[in-house]
Amino acid sequence: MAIAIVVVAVLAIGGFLLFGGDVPLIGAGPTGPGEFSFELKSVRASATSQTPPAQLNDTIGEAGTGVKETMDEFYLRAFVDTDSWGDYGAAFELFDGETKVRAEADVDVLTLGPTANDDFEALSAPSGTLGIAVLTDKKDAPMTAIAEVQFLANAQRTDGTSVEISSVGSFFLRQVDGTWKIFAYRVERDDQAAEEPSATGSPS
Amino acid sequence: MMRRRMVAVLATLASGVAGLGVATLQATPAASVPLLQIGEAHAEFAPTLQGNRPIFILILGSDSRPGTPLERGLCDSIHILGINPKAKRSTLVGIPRDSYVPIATGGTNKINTALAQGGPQGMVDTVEDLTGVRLDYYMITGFDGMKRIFDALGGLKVNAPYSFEGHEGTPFDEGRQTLTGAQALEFARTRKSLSQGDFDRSMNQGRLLLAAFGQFMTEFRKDPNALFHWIAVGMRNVATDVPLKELLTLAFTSSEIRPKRVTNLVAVGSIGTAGGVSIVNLPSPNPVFQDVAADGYVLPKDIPAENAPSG
Repeated sequence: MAIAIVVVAVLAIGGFLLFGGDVPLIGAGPTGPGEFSFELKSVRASATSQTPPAQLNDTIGEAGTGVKETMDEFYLRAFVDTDSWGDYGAAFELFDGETKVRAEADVDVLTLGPTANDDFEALSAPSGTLGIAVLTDKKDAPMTAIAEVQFLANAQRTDGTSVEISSVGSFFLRQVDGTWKIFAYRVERDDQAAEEPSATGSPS
Repeated sequence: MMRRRMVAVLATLASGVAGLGVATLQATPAASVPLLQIGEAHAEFAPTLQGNRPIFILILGSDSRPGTPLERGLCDSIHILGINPKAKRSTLVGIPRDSYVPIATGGTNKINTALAQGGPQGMVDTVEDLTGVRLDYYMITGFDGMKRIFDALGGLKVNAPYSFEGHEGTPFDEGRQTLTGAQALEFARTRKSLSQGDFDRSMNQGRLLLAAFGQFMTEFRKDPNALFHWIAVGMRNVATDVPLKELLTLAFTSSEIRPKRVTNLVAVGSIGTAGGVSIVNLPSPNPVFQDVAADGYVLPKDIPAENAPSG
């Protein structure tokens, strides 16, 4: 046993020295930034009462913070956090009721995919913007929110190619036991891959 | 309802993307590497009403003036909106305001007095007794509310089946046009210049509601934020017993119904007088009411010609 450990360690250190650290250590999984936060562009109120929207700033600001936390967490678990790849249970916990079941069926659109561990080596440069609208009830309490999301990231596939991941969508959220949860969504994925430079530099 | 489409990977591009045919592609500087689309996908879901049980909403236009509660005016516009979630069909049935019917709070009178006499519940009870439809909710707006709604929505795009002059002199041409709030109100209130008077007016009111539905659908498909805008504008100008959460579900449900699957008709009757006042006598039993009460909608082929006056 001890010999095996020594052999693995020597191979790992040797690989690191030979390749300048560009190869993963033996046993290491895919790599990623490990954290993610949307850039919040705006939070605005849609009031069903006669209260001027400016007087709702505090209320919807608090709601906006809660909605952003949910969306940050969802995209972290669905795309950025490599430990979640292929097992998106934590991401789907952010969906409410029957929506969770439907979201699980849409795993290939809402996440990096059920086989992300096999398909991707790493994910980098995640970025995204978030716009939030909060619908308030007649008593000016936040009732529902729409999160408009634009998310981009670069993903390196296990075959050596790169993909730009694009997820653009609208998520409807409501408060469930103090947490903003997603109950409806409309999401577009439009992934694109970089052309590989040719070996000869000319078309064949 | 979830809908998803996967666009097939373009084979010629995929070969390059997959690194199988790199020599066939023009080399480009790394800083400006063009991107090739490799996959487009769409997913959506929203909680909607399910099942065959229809939902009925009584939509009322009150003539209450400033200072008078909406719920205590005379009804200039009376429509039953039926929605069948399973069939994804809907029907608007207009009831002429001069319909002479038993009023739930007592006596027989024009139906438009039921709101003033008994408030929303009195109106609901009267319409239920008349039609056999079990109403789930009501919505009431007034003259000013209607104007504010359509102005806040940027106008209402309506398709007039014929030209006519509004009661305040506005010419409404045949065809598509965008009405301001004031014009929409005049469109809805005009009666005397229409060939079938009260019946045509009720039909026109239904046209406005249908136009609003179609406009909502178009805007919602383009931008989900439109849902909040419509609900906020509506709720600021409507008295209703629909809970906000239920309104969202109804909106999601309605968004699955194509405008072509919504029928607009009027409960037509014979013209008569009562106490020297012009009234409408509705047939009883009324096949239109029976049809819509059964499942929430009337198919176009089942609409008697007389129940779709003037187009």
